[in-house]
Amino acid sequence: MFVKYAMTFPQGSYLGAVPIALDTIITGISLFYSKHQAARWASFALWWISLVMTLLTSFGLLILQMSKQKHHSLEDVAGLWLMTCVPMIITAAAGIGQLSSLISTSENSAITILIISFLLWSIGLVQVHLILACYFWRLISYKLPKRDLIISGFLPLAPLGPTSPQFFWQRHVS
Amino acid sequence: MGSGALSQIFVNFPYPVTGGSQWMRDVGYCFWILDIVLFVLFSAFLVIRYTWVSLPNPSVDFAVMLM
Repeated sequence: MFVKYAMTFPQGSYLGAVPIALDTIITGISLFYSKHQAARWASFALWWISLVMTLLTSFGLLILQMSKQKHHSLEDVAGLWLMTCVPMIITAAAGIGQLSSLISTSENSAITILIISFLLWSIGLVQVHLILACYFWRLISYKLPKRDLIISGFLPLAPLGPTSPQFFWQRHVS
Repeated sequence: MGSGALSQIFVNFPYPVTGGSQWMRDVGYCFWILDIVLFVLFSAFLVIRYTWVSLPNPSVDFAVMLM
């Protein structure tokens, strides 16, 4: 049933909210308990779990959409489509957020997270802007989205907001 | 997700608030705890909904609630 739900587009895109929510918890651990070594490793372990969920959402759902679903038209494009790639940017932000505390515990782990976060961030940003281009073209061609999808019009803010501090932190930590 | 973002905003608030650093951090901590509770709750709902109970056409989407 879960796979059937995941294949129902665009409702399956909401599964991207799960790694995003986990990322806020990871960032909280880094914010409040960064002085405890156990907390650093806990956030490190949780980040890897979040990374797996992010990749499953971002690429797994994309493959399902491409291979198993009916044809989509340009009229179907909505802000909700961004939910598959937003987790990549938020997970990258959570990774960067824990670098300053993790680097004192294990430099190798910190460098690994830095590299993977940068890759996630760049791939996510490319995907987001590809979908945004389609979305704006859809708005011009077919006007406003359907009533049940209009609320997802705010979703472009989700990846674009964290991108600027993310860029600053990467420069700062590097 | 929203409560976690609020928590980060309270803790990392960039402008000086007189005597605000500690209470804003405490409020942020409360939101973070709320974030964890909601995440566990809705994740449990999600698992129950898709593994144990088979109901036709879910009208309420728990992944949406996580937002």
